[in-house]
Order: sequence, then C-alpha cells, then structure tokens
Amino acid sequence: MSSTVEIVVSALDLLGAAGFAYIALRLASLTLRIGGEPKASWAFSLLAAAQILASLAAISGGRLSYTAYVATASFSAAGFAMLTACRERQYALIPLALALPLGFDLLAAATAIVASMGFRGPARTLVAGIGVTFLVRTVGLVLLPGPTGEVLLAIGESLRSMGAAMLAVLYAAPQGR
Amino acid sequence: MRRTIMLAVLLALALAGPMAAYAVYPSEPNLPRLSREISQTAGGPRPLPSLVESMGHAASYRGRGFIAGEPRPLWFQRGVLVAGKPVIPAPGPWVIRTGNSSRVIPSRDVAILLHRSRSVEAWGVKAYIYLPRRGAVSVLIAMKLRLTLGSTVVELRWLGAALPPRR
Repeated sequence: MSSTVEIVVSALDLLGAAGFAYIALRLASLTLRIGGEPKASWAFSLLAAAQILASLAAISGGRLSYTAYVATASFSAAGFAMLTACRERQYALIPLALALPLGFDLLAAATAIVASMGFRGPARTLVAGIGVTFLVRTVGLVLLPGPTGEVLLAIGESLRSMGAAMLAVLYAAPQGR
Repeated sequence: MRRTIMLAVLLALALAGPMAAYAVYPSEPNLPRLSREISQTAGGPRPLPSLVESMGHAASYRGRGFIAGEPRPLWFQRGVLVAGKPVIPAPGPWVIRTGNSSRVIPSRDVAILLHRSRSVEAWGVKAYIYLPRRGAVSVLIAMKLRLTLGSTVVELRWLGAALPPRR
C-alpha cells in the first residue's frame, strides 16, 4: 500500500468525521430547541470520533496505528448501540453482546444494521451500508492476504466515509430526519 | 440513572477495544539478539551489523505455500497462503534449524524473520483435518520453510496452523 493511498484514505476518513460531526451538532441544536435527551447527538459524536481514529490509523504506524484501528470499530459499535437505544430497541442489544467475542468489526456491523431499522428512507440504506463496510473490513483483514485485502480495506474505508458524508447531506436537507 | 448506566457501559465498550489492542500488540523482537543466535547456530560468528542489514524487506516469495507476513497493524495481514487458500497462523512452537543444530523460537520472532527474509520456500506441507466442535471443520497444517536471510539459509518447521473454521 503506497503512502499516497494511505493519505487519501485518511483524508476521506476526516471527511466522514466532518459529516458525522455535522449531524451531531445539528441534532444537539435541535434537542436544545425542543427538549429531550441528546442520545442521538452523543451517538453521532462517537461515530465522528471513530472516523478521526480511522484517519489516525491510516497515517500512523506501529502500536498506535493498531490501537486506533481497533478503536475505530469499538467507537462505532458504541455509537450504533447508542443509536439503537435511542429508538427504544434496547432489547436488540442482548444478542449483539453475543457478537462481541467475534470482534469489534463484526459488532459494529451488527449494531449498525440493527440501528438502521430505526431510520426511514435513504437514511436507513446509508446507515446499513456504513455497517456493511465493517464487514468488508473484516473480510479484508482476516481472509485475504496480500494486496487484495489491502485494496478491499481501502475501498471499505472510503465507502464508509462517503456514506457518512451523504448522511450529513441528507440531514442538512430541510426534510432531514 | 438508567441512562447513566447505559452511557457508562457503552463508553466502556468503546474503550475496551483499543485498550486491549494496545496491551496485546506484539513488540518488535530483539533483532540483534535474534541474529546473533542465528549466526551462532549457523556455525560461526558473523559480523552482526551486516546480518541485520541483510534482513531487508522480503523481495519475492516462491514455493507451494508462501507467507504474506507483514506485521503492519493498519493493513493487518499475517495470513499464510497454502495451496492458494488463506490460513490464519496460530501461535505454536517453531523449530529453527541451521546446520546440525536446532532450537525452538517464539512464533512472534518467526513472523518478523519471515517478513525480513529475501525469499521463503515451503515444502512438505501436510494437512490434518480435525473437528473442533460439532458442525465445524478445521485443518491443521504442518510445513517446513526455508528462509534466505542474506547469505544465510534458515530452515523452519512449523508445527501448526489452522484454517478458518468452516461450518
């Protein structure tokens, strides 16, 4: 993997972070205006933090990179779990806890797919798609040695960032959910 | 109260992963020590710096099975291809053999050695099928590897590797 690709992936991750941060801010301001619990805002803040960690993992090396890589999945899993709880689907967290030993990537994918059920329209597809990118990560990470796995990982990271940006655009629209 | 507990659990979940990853990340093996031991088993003292320098990046892989071992954490690839199929290396005893002497070395050091080798050959691949649990099939692999580190040829016998379980 060339360093250029890593820089591009890192930049895309930051774009995704900006998207999630925008959604978090928008939801926070909405919550302040109409009242209620800012759980969804916290959830998107965690997702934004996960994207920043993914960016760090792409450009750093050694132990820091590995730690940030795992943190990306675990922060995302926590964020999606919080989104799931927002939609009064706490019961769904019980089977998800069983997925924890399988790895944080799989957990993040599972929580994202469950959380997507609380959305409607294009947002549901985008959240589910973001979850699927964690499955892509898992396949690239574990099953494919050599450059094929690396390319798959880069594609997964890029797709997740694009999904986050598109979700932010959706929330920016006047009819955004 | 309930919300606080949920937030605490989720934050613990978020932090558990990176903390565990930080703890288990393997540190770099002591390459000078390792190279010194290899040079001793090779049957004669070798100048240490030249051997360390010769442990450059792997340039080519050949043989029936090959190692795609690069312990870079982001693109975490430590898979082994045997007969074109991916194998996840299991930590197990490795026997390093140079000349007439042999000794057991940690698998972590072997991973670094494989990464630094100029070429890796594998032969004598044997597969043993076993059933770790009902409905799942895994395969144990035993193989020998010949590494070229500069002008030094090192032979390894890998005692175990497991394919991902198949349901």
